[in-house]
Amino acid sequence: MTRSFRLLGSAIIALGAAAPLRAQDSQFGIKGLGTPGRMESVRARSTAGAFAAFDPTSALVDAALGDQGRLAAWTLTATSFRRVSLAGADASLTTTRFPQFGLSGPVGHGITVGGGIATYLDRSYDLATHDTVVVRGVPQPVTDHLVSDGAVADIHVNGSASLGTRFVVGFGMHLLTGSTRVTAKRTFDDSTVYANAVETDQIAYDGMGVSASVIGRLGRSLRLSAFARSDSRLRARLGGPEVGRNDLPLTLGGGMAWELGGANRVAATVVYQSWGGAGQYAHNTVNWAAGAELGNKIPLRFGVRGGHMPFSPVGPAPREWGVAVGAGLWLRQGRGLIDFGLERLARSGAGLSERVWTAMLGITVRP
Amino acid sequence: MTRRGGRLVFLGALAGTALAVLSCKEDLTAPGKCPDFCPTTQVGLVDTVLPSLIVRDSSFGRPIGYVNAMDGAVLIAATLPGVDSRPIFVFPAINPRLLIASTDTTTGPVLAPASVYVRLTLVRRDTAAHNLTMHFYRLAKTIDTATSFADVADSFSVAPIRSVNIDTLLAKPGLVDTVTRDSVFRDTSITATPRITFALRFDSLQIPWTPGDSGVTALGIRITADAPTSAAFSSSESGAGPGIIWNSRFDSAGTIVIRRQSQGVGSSDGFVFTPPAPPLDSNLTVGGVPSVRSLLRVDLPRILRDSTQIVRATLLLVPAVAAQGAPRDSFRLLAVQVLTDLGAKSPLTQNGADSTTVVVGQTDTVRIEVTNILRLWQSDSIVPHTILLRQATDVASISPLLEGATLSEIRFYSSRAPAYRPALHLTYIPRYRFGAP
Repeated sequence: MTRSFRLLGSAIIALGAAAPLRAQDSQFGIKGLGTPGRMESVRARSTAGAFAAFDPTSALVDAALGDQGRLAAWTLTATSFRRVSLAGADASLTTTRFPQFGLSGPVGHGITVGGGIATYLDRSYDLATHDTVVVRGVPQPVTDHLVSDGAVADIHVNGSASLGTRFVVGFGMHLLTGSTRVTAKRTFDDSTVYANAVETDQIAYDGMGVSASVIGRLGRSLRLSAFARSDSRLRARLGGPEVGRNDLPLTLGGGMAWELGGANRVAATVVYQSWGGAGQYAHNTVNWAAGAELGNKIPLRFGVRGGHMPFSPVGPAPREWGVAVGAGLWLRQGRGLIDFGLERLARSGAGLSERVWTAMLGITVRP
Repeated sequence: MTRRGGRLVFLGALAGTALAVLSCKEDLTAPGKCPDFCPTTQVGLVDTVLPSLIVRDSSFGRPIGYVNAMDGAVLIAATLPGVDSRPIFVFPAINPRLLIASTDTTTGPVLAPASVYVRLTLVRRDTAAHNLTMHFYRLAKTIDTATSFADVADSFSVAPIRSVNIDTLLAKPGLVDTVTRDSVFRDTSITATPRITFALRFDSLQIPWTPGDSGVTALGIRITADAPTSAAFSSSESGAGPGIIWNSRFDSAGTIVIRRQSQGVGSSDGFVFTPPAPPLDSNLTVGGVPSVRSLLRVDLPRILRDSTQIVRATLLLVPAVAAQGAPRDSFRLLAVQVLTDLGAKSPLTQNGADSTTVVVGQTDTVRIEVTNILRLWQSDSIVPHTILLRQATDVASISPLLEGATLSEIRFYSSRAPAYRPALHLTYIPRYRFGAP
């Protein structure tokens, strides 16, 4: 075994021990269905998502699977350090997520099939509120904890087919499933008189979706991508009975990638999602990204993104912008790839602002 | 940058990223600002008084109580307005013949006692009453568990054979009266409140030796003080009951020798009092002697049991009359979960009881926190929804939860008095509506 593969093996084992499958979260999603997952690999996210429409290891565009060329498996982990400022109160939060796994490979005749798991909606939060309630005529300080731990995952099977040398089409089926373990806890400061109350339950979610996409080549260096996805509804069940049902969005998007020569590339992507029908606090969103990847052996990546978050308790959709940078290392003639990236996000709206640093590490194996 | 340099930079950045990713600790707790940045549903709180939950309540314990005057752990002495209680006990016979020397088996008869000591342990007293004095009376040797106050009234109507001022004795240097040769032992090793044991010397006139009955002696005690007072002595049931020590003289081949013979009271101790304990009525009685307990059955609605979390539960009891007993006295009122509901004979759980303190003369509503009991009902569907009320008194060195150690009692209105019936004051958190974003 070479040194490179030993390094790769160690990294995969370390990633596997890190954390359960979850995605980056935000307090903007608490009042809505959650925080939508990125569906982006570390490579794509290091360009702020600009290359997601052309990246076979991202779960955004099925047609991009055709670029993989050989059997491949990938995963990533991301750790976010989030600074939340809300009404003069600040908090620092740390989360580690495993937002994506994937596997794909060609089956001949220009057809590539794949599948994987990605986070569709993250629903993890832990809110602590301090208040004083008047009980039996006496003010009693209390602390409430509302905790949700879990996510809705997108388990997808997809495929792509080459139509001649210029076009690749892709299709995907998506099963949305997951659960959250929810806890509501009230603690009284005077615990000698009032007992604490804790209630825990589990909510299961389900839904379906289909996706289609096409990537076309114009000339030698320009590629264009168009993609669409329709998700049905998200149904929430609490121990069997349905407790919630919300429409899920139609996703429409497009991208452009330009080969500059000398192994340098730039790309841009724009995505529209009709989250507005997903509930009282939901808004339609448009998000864009632009970025570049320079070099082949140890590519340097960077990008910038902007747009909106889909859920906000009051007012218009919260704004989000971010920058990202990263690099990758090909190992053993392309049989393994380690990517890392660093992302800085800023979100603001309705009196809440979030500043997020996210460190990402991705592994791709192509035996 | 050379290829080797680029690889080193990459590996350094990779190591830094891996360290950041893999060494982090999950910390999701954020300040909530409700209602905007909280789930739609908030943690609720309901506070309500439920007056009709207590049903089928009743009292048990008269005329035969859970603890009676002749089987309690203490002997109650009281001289109070309207209450007079006097400990009585019988010391059984001692051996009229004893081995004189250890070298042979010859026995000699008791000639006469050189002295007699009576041992008593005082476990509870009213420290506000000064000049507490014990008056000893000789009683008929036929007293038993059926003896009443009237049966021994004549014996107490004569002059006492001896009176001992406890406060004076306790003030003596070294706790020894060199004149009367009485002594006191204060045992503070068991509890903070000392147990006081007296060794009181009686002469042959006060406790005479009667060869015919081998020293069987019956005594009674009446106490007095500068103010109405009460006290308690430990009984034989506590393991430290009254005792008698005969320093007997024997003839050893013409030489008089003294041998010590000790004797406890066996189980022949108790106390008599007047007036007799009042009979039970439609109210809920707790305490007194014979000691009475009351049983409350709670019809807890299913929705409260299954769909809420009780954070505080208070049992409200309205006294029908002021709590009876010695002035300035108090006792604990315990609410105990029964193991199974067998009415008067319901066994109690060994879990800790909820309690409150009742002061004699109290007429205010008595509140007992029963949160632990109701939360047990929520978590365990097997236990009966039955609460037993009983009295307890903290008696030094015997038990902090002694029943039948005081004549004090309290009567509450029962569910048969609709306006004042027992009630439950509940504070609970309704089921949280999970699932709504």
